[in-house]
Parts: sequence; structure tokens; C-alpha cells
Amino acid sequence: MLQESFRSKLFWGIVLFLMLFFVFSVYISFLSLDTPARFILNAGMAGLSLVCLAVTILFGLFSMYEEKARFERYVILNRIPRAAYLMGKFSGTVVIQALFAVLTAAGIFFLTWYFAGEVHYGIFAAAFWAILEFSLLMAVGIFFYCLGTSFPLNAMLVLATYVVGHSTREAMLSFVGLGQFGSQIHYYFVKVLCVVIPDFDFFNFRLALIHSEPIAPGEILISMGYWACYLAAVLILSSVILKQKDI
Amino acid sequence: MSLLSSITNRLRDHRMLFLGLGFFGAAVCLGYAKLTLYPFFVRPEVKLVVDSRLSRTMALDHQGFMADMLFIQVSLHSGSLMWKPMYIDFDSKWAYHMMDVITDLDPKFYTAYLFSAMGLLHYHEDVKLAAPILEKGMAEFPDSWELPFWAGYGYYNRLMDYDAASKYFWEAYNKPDAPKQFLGLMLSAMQQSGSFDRAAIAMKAMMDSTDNLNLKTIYAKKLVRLKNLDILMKAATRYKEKTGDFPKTLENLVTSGFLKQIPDDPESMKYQWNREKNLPGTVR
Repeated sequence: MLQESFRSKLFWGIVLFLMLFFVFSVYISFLSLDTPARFILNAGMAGLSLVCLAVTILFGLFSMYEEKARFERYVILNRIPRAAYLMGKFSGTVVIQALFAVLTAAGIFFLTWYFAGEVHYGIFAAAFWAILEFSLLMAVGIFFYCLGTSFPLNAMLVLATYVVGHSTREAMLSFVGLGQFGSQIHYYFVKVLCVVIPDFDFFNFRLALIHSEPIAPGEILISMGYWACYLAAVLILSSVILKQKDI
Repeated sequence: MSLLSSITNRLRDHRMLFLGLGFFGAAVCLGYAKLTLYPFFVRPEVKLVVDSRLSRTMALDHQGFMADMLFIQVSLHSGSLMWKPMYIDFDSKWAYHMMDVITDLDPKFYTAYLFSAMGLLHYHEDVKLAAPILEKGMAEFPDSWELPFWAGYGYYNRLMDYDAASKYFWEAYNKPDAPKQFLGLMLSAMQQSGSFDRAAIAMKAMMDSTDNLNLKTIYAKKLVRLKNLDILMKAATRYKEKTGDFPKTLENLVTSGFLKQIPDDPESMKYQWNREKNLPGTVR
């Protein structure tokens, strides 16, 4: 999958996008009133998320649908179990995500050093958390794929999961703020939604990394445990669904 | 003849390309014509008013990036980064609301707090708008002397509110690593607000920080005067507690038994009660 992606024009398109984002981050750092490192790092982390999102949808999910459209999937599924097929697709996408995340982090690290004269190793930690976040998103995309959705619908659902997954805590806070207008049933409904939908806030240590603040080991363990459990659950469920499907 | 026909043939082969290039040329000409006919003029900016929680949701966990973008908008509006025509007024209310949102998004954005107290101040009343943001910063950075100092400086310099200024200067003075350079400013604010006890501490610090013997002697005399003024102020406050009003003259304090005698000034000045400011002072 990695070799295929090198040959793809899309791969180089994303690399070009990344370069433009680097230029953008340096440009806005000139408007930072003497805090260029902070601006480059923040913009770089936004770029990191956009690139990983693009890789998830345009590489990971699209390649699965392409194989389906070219009837290549049936040849592969004749040779290997369906669960192995899903795992292969998942791992391949995560490798590309990791490649882009490390590439972006290295670029931001260099820009921060060159233009701001500061060394921030925290950006590599940000890349690590981005890999966990987007691997989980890829697993969600695979789950929707196994449900038989079309590519446009799957892409939309993955985007929606990404947006909602980043807003669940705020939604909860807003609901508490507006609590006087809702009932207990509404409250529990919102709470259930917040717990069921993946909560990407678990992987958000961006501000701590920018300000070089230590992250409590407990928080790291909880986040990684959440990732492992949620990922395993989604991938196992996807395998079960695909196994029972008549394709 | 054959050359001409080959060129004609080539042109025919690539006619779509030439057509495309022709349209592109026309678009460029129209763009140039628009610039000439309707030259640029500066319009008032679009000032987006955002709420902290909404921006946090919209940031999708990139609060730092969102804070940076809003910060650029505010600093451009303030005219700190580039020239801005005078007729585009600075909107203090909007700018300080934005700074509040920015520091909600990233409470550790130190430059944003400093900018609120320094570069963003356009009108005297802006000091009051900056104060809550600086208070937020002081809670986030309890060891920073700069934030209370700039808060105090705004009150001292722009509003001449010496009570508030001396409160902030005192806070700044008590922070670790606070430089001694602003002690004079703090002293002045404290004298004008009647905090002679704290002013005496500042004077003592100034005296201790200099190696110049002449200066040390001058400071020592001023220290004695500040201590005297403190005694007079405390007696006047007790007088007010009992009678409901400040004394008309310092002699009232002696006759009513709040003070045994008016202390002697180290530089032979006379102490006098200032009825306008309700503070003791000196005259030649």
C-alpha cells in the first residue's frame, strides 16, 4: 500500500499541500508580535491534522472503494480471511498516516528552529497523538465501509465523526449551561451520545505541548487505554459485520 | 509556401489551446481594467464577534491555532503591525472582548496578556477594559511581575488612579525577580494614594539597592519623612473614625490627643494637612 501511494499523484498532491501549509505557518509567524515559534507550532499542528484527515479519507478509505469498484477485492478475499483484509487496509493506512505525521513534525521542527531559533521536541509527541487519533478515525471509516455505505457517504460520516468527536465535551458543557431548558432524559441522551461517539479530546495535548507543560502519566495511560479499547472494539465489530455480509 | 501551410496547419491543430490562452489574456486585461477604473480604497474591517465556547467548539481541539488567528485579527485592527488610516477608529470594546476570548482559548498565551496592557491601549478608559484580562493573566502566571506592573502603569499613567496603581505596583514588587527599576514609580503612586507605610518599604529597598553614599543619605532622610507621614496618616485615620471627618489641620490631631506632637522633618520641612487630597504633605 505504501509503494502504491508513492506512485499516486494524490501522495505528491498532499506533499505539495503540506509545503504550502509550511509557508503559511511561517507567514503568519511574522504577524506574531515576537512569538513566532508558537505560531509556527500551532499552525503546523493544524496542518498535521488536515494532512492526516486527507490521508485517512483519500488514501485509506478511497483505496478500499477502488478495489471494490475494480472487483479486486474478491480476488484478495478468496485468498485471505476478511478480518485479515481489514487489518491489512487499516495497518497500511496507519503507516502512511505515520509517515506524513513524522514528515510534518520534522518540517515544523525545522521551521521552528530556523525561523524562531527554538527547539521544540514536543511536536513529535503531537505527531504521535495525531497518529492515535487518526488511526481511530480510520477504524471508524472501516466500520462504515463494512456497513455497505458508498464512498461519498462514508467520507461524510467520517468527517462528521471527526467534527462531533472533537465537540462532545463542549456539547456536554453547553448542555449543562442550558440545563434549565432540558429534562433529565435530554441530559442522559447527550451523555450517552458523548460516551458512544469516539471522544478525540483524549488525544488533545496540543496546548500542553506548546507551553512545554508536563502531561500526567495517568492521563497518558487513560488516553492510550481508551484508544486501544475503542480501536479493538470497532475493528472487531467491522470484521464480524463483513464476515456475515454476502459480498 | 510549404512553411506557411505548415504554420497554418499547426495553428489549426492547436486552436483550442490558442482559444484558451486568448480567454486567459482577456481575463488578465479585464483584471487590469478593473484595477484602473476602480482603484483600491481602505474599507472598515469586518469585525467578527465570537464567543469563547463557540470558538472552542469551532477550533476542533486546535485552540492554540484559533487563538493565534484571532490575535492576528486584533493586532491588525490595533494598528500595531502596519499603517492604518486614522478614520478607522479603534474599537476598544470589540478588541478587549476578543482578547478575553483569545485568553479563554489559550489561558497560557502570555504575549496576549502583555499586549492587552501595552500595545492595545488606545484610550485612557481602555485601562479598565484591560484590567480583567490582566487579572486573568495574573491568576495563570502568579510569578509574573510584568502583568501587575503594566496594570499599575496603566492606572498610574493614564487614569491617575493612584490607589489602583499602588495596589498593582505593590503586587509586582512582591513577585520573585521583580526588577528594582520601577521602585521610584511605585513610590510616587503610593505617596499620592497615602500608602506611606508601603512607600517607606519601597524607599528602604531603593536605599539598599544603591552603592552611592550621597544617594543613600538622601534616601535615608526621605525614609524618615515617609515614616513621619505614615504616623500622621494613621493618626488622621483614627481621628476620622472617631469624628467622622478628617482633621482640618495637623494641630487638630495634637489637641484632640491622637498625636503627642508633630514629628520633625529630617530636612526641616513643615508638615501640613492637604484638605483637597485628605493626605499629609510637606511645605517649605
